[in-house]
Amino acid sequence: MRLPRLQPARLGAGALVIAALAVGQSMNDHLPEQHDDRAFERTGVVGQPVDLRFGTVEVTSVDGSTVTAGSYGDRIATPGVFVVVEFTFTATNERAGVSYGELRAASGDLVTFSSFGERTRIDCGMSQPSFTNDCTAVIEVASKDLAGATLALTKEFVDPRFDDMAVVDLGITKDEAREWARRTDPIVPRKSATRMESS
Amino acid sequence: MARMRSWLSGLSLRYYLYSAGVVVLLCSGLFGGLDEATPDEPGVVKVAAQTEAAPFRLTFERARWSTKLTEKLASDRGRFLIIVAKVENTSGRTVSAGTLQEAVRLDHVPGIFKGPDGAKVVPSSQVDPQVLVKVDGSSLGPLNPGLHHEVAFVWEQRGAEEPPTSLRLRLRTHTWRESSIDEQLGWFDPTTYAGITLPVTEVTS
Repeated sequence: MRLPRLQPARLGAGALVIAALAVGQSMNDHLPEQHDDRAFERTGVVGQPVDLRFGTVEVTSVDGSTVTAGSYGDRIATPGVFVVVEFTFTATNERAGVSYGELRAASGDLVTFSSFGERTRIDCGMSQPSFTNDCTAVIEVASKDLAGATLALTKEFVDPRFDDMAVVDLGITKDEAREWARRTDPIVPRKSATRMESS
Repeated sequence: MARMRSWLSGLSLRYYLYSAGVVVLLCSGLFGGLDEATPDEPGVVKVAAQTEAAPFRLTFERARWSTKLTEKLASDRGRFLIIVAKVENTSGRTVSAGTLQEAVRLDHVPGIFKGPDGAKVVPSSQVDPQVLVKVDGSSLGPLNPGLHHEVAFVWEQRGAEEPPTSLRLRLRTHTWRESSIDEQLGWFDPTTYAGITLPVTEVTS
């Protein structure tokens, strides 16, 4: 076997391949980064309905203590605070639920959680269109991260980047955070349930 | 020059490939060639000393064995090996339970069950321990930032084995990077950086 002689046509084909690779690399460099993908955020406050593509979320109450009940009903305690957030969810056009949440602290700390947790979790279930579910989120968090925190809620826990997300200012003050960090009477989170009347 | 060109053009492609291989092998010889690379010797962490196993700060306090873990949980097939430690997630965001389980590997302890429900016994270094919160016995699950928990790492050992007198843990650190599968960021690539040996005593209550 001998080395093949370089033909002009082969040189041309090689140059075209290299040019195509260079163009591809250039396009890859200039297209938006994948990290820019994030949910469409709809903001609100406690007591205000937040309309999302797949339903409406309304945070109705926020409370905190160092003791609560785990997902199996056992008493659990924390060196921080269990924040217990009650909210409602009403699906719009198709059966849906809220199964992913983030507690975003003013410090930048990020607590992420889903329906699958014992100490930090969402209990919401699935709602049929126009029916309302009573839901609860229990979030174990360092007490320093409470004041000024916001709660983000959406339906998709596997990859929450590609849908609407409710972002609610929980309105927690430093005084409330201090009080909850000292509190030792347990908060018993309510179980999720669907209201029988449609809206 | 013309003779050289003529000689080179007469050589086969296979000859060129062999020559390139020899050149690569000779160059690699400068860095040890095909010798087996010696991994860096892991450091030694002392009992009750803080250590950083990204994304965690860990302090190992003591090791115990017992047939009873909590009021409700006893072993009917052997005993629990328990290492008590303080743990803090220093990353600023929630870290999965699996990452904390991967941060410790129990070495060379015979008769360790693969999990709390399975009857299979596997090498102890392959077993992810249960992680329980000491104050209430609940499963720790994902660890949120800024919280300091005292936890128990728990393995279950077959009753036919003698209880160990010491436990040797390998400590592993993780790297924060993008997943090559779904491009989401996470903690990957657990890598041993240190070891710790704890004497074991029986819990007598």
